[in-house]
Amino acid sequence: MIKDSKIDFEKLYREQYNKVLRLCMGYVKGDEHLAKDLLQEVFIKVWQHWNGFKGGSQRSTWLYRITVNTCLQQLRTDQKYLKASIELLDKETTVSESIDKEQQFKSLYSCIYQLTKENQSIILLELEGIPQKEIALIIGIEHNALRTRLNRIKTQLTKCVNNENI
Amino acid sequence: MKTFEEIQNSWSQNKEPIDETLLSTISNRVHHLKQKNRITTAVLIATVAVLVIYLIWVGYTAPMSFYVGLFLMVGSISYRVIAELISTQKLSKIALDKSYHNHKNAIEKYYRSRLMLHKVFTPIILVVYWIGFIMLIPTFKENLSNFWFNYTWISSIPIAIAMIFFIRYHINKEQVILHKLKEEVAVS
Repeated sequence: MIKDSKIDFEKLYREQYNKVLRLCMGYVKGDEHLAKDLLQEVFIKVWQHWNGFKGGSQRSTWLYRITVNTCLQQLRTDQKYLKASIELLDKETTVSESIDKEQQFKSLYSCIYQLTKENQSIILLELEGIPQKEIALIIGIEHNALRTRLNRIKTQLTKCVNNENI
Repeated sequence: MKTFEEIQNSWSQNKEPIDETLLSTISNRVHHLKQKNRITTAVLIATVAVLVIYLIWVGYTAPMSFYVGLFLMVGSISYRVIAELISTQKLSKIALDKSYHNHKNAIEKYYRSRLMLHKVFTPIILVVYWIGFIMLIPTFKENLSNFWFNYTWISSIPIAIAMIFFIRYHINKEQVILHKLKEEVAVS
């Protein structure tokens, strides 16, 4: 039983690793080191609550709820996440295309960071391509309200990425 | 990245090789957390048992005021430690698989109860603790040498100051968290 759970857990970890890491990076301005610390906390909680999954929703919805709640709780209580800084451009890069891409991501993380934590969560889930009905369940608001909010955040974010301010 | 679709497209292309070593780190940390909980419970039970045995033993030989004073000190500290453990348990029992809003509300309620603990109950507990200490002073004076008696009451002053700072630190910490919780949904 425990062995089966462990196999399922490891499968989920490998399937969702990049999605969860990107979500975590969105909360810490793209700081990969801090994002990995968050990812670790998320999967510790996932393993601790593994048997609490009732099956009322998809396993992925369950995982994203834990991801959002764990990341935000860590940000509230652990001072080290306040030190998050955009370090992407500090890395040595030789190819100009990579510099461009890193610059774009730096700008994107900075724009995401200017949103409220609730809106950050919404846009990060949207960027992952998670269906809006599922995002509404994860955040806990009506689907229609989410759609309206999402349109506003998308416009804000796009403007910000292109103009560098919201 | 001119449009949102372009942003979304770049976002999903940002991939990293899966860190397989983290799986064993996670497993080890879960194991250590379980072990830490067991050790904390065992230490607490052992401490309470030793204190109760000591109280019973002292009760036969020392004056009543000493016994009552010691009981107030040990009782108030034990009560505070138990209250802290219960509070920590409450936090860990808040379901993480609730929606963000439900989870946030539960966390807010929890931190408000923590503020009550720090602002109302902890000062009462400390007053009881210091009443207990004052009740012990006559027995200390009778039984201790001048040096140890002076050492005991003088050292109690920095302890009292440290306790006040400890309460203030925790009140501030929890107020900052409550403030952050409010800011999370503020209109941007």
